[in-house]
Amino acid sequence: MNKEKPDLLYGTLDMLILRALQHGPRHGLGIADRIQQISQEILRVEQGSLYPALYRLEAQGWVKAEWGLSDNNRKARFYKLTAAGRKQLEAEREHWSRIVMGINRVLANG
Amino acid sequence: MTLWRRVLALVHRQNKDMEMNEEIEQHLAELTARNLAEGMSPTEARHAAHRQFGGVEQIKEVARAERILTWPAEFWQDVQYGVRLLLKNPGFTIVAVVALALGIGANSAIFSVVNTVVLRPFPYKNPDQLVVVWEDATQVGFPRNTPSPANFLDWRQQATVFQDLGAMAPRSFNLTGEGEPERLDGRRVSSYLFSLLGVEPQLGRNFLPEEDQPGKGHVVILGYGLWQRRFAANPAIIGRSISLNGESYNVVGVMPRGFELPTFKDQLWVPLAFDAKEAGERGNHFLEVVGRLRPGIDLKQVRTEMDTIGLRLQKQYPEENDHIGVVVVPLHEQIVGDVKPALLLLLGAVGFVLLVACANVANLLLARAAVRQKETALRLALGAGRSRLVRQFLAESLLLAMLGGGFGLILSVVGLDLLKSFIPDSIPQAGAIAIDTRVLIFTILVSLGTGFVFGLAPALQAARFDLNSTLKEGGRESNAGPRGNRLRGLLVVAEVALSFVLLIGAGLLINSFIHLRNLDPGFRADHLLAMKVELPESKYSTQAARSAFYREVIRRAETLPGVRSAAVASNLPLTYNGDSVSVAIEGRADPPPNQRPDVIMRVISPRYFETMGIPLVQGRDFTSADVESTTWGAVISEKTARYFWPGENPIGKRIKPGSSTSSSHWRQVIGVVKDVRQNDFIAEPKLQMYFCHEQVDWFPPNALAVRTSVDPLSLGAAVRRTIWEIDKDEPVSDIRSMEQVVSEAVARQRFSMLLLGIFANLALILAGVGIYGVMSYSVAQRTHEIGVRMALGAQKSHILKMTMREGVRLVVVGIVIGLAAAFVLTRVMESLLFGVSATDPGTFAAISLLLMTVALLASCIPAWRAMKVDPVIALHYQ
Repeated sequence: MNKEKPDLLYGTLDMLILRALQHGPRHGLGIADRIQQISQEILRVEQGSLYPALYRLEAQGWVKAEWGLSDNNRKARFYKLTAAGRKQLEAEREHWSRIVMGINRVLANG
Repeated sequence: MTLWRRVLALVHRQNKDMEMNEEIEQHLAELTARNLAEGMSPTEARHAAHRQFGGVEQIKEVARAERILTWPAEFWQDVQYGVRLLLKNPGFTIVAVVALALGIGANSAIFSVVNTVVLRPFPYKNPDQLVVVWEDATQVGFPRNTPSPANFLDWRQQATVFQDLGAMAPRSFNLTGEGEPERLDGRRVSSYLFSLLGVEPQLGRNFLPEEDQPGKGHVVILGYGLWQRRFAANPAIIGRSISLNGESYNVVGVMPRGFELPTFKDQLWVPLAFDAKEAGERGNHFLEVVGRLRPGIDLKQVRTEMDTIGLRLQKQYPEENDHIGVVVVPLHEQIVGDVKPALLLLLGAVGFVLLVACANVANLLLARAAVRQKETALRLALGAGRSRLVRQFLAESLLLAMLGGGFGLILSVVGLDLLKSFIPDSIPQAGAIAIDTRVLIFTILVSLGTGFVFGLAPALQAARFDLNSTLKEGGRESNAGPRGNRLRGLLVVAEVALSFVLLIGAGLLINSFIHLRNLDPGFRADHLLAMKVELPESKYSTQAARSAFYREVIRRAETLPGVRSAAVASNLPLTYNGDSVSVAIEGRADPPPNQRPDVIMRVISPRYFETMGIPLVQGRDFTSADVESTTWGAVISEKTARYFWPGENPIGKRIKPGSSTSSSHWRQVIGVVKDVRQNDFIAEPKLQMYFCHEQVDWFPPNALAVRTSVDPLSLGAAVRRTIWEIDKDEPVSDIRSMEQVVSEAVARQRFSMLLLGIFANLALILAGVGIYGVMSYSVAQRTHEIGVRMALGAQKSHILKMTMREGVRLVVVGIVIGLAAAFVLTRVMESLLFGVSATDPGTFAAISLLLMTVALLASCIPAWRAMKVDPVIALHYQ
């Protein structure tokens, strides 16, 4: 497999998806585009791997999906953040910044 | 889960799948359109979209797994698939299920025994609080000695750690008056003993405190079995009188079914009712004492306090309590302690058998997995996740294990019936052994665990499977690579090593047993009939009456056809564990009390030695002329003669029971006989002496021995009838041949030996099958190679040697590992061995040879087949 892509940290994909959905529903490709766009092309997601994550989030009740039409008039499932999903995003954001803070301190004072 | 819900789940799953397919398709279409817009060619655009998306089928499979809801459905699918596979390969299925059923069945059966005998609490209230209290007379060879009444009463008064202490003492009763007279074992017990144990009579009442007074104790509580058998379970028995030892006892209660005082087969109980003389006895030790600890008191506290009391009593009564301490043993340890090592050994042994069975089935599965490589490769290529494959392999293994467990349970039910028929009576609660919920749960857990153990290797191998190389091999049914072969080889090595350890254990026990059976009991056990004939004291109160009765019994018995001679004795060898006294030697000062040797005393009639087949080595036997008025004589054993008169002629020397100042008569040694194993078959014979029953008025005989020229048991009824012609109320019991008596003396050893032997053979067969399987498989794999070698001119014998070498190598490695393991493990069974050391070189050598032979045979057949390979066919073989 192609090894040149920057790998995502394990467990962070869910958080990124939630963040991508923060300002309104998107379909799978839209989510992938959004993540690339916000990260200014630093992060790149293997698009297929979004789906297992999306189904996982759906099973948890953090996102809801509905069939709709894309900009190009194609059928697509649009994912929307639920109230629980918003809370989860906040929790993960909090958790993440603590980890980053911790790691930074270690790197700075090591 | 109902079928309906399952169907719904499947429908739901299919909808979900369709939805996912469509979603992914649309995603790809969108990407392709975008690529087209960027100016790619249509083909290029589609390929680029797939690259960006990733492996479609893998992602679908992972996504399916994410929806937890589908797991049960997948599991159901795996099980169905497994069932289909098992049905398709009946040969494989039968071999695997039989191996597992044997392994699991043996485990369930032995666990039921351990469960009942060791794990199940005794049927008393809070049995953890119960302890047995003994006198500690280690100095004179009795680390757990029966306490004397005076010591017991002092303990009870002084100790604060007990809720109460109760005592009992064995007594046998002659039940007469209704039907045949019968001798019954019973016990005198403290009136509050049953309350102390927390068991109430099922019918009637407990003893009252006032019935524990001398003269008031003519009341009896019956055991459930006796009540059923002798009194037709009639509740009206309460309040009636029955005749015991010629005296009338009032029945006040019946104990519930299954109640037994620990380790005894008592059938009835009467109050202890010490009289003043008995209560004051400190030198006469015959009680068994049970105590219930106060809540919150632990063993250490009890031992501390009882040690203090013991020391105090030693100081207070220096003569009687010289070197006598107190030892407290938990009831459970007291009863189960000496059967535990053998049972745990058996449990370990069946564990080994199960491991061998597991290794066998794992090997079968591995071989099959190799055959199924193409299928596995195809599924991986089509996008099956590796975890999904592992799960499917495990589901198949678990299915096999549960099948094996089910049949194993059936086997254990049958086996348990068989096992109960030869389990020794001396094992506590042996009658209650059964399969209960705990055994069922144990069986299910063992089956599940087994499934995981033998299913793991093939499953992991499937997961590590190298897709590329298999596909490259062009679908030829090849081997699973060197790793698969090595794993199979390892399993065979493990099987051989485990079987080796088991066989060594069995071999050592068989060796011990042969040693035991070759022990000379000191008498000739064949053609010898034994029975108990105990005279009630109330009816035969004088020495003259008793002697007359026994003389008449012997005279009439000897007139019966088939009878050579008859004799009476106080307890025949190996039937009783007591009647030891200290002795004084004329002309010598008595040694201090704790240095006086105990001598087993037996009271016999003339011709006893001839009847028993005990050789007389010096002097003479008693004759009918040895009566009260003539010289008082004694016959002693060789060891006794050597002990008291080393290098001297003992004949004519004088000896008497007790101390030299006791009122007993001096007795002249008139003869010396060979040593007899009186109390214990296994221990070396102790010092022994015999007195003539006509010359002992305080110790009547209680057993009859008859030397026959025909099968001794065929005369039992005739001899009993003869006794009843003399006294129709005289109970005659325990009619056995002395061969039976000897065989019962080694019943426990036989039991462990037989079982371990069976298990070891089981392991041997399983290992043999395992070796055969691996060798056949390896030959089948190498058919092509063998064909090439033969085409190039290899000799047939060379091919035979080459294939055998592989099997032999595995077995030798297994035996070497087994040797090392056995060397360490057999030490735990040292206490069960007799006459052989735990590392007996003969046994080790013989077992190595046996295992080697079986292994050679098992690899011979496949090797033979290899030799017969036709090179032309083999070369075409793909």
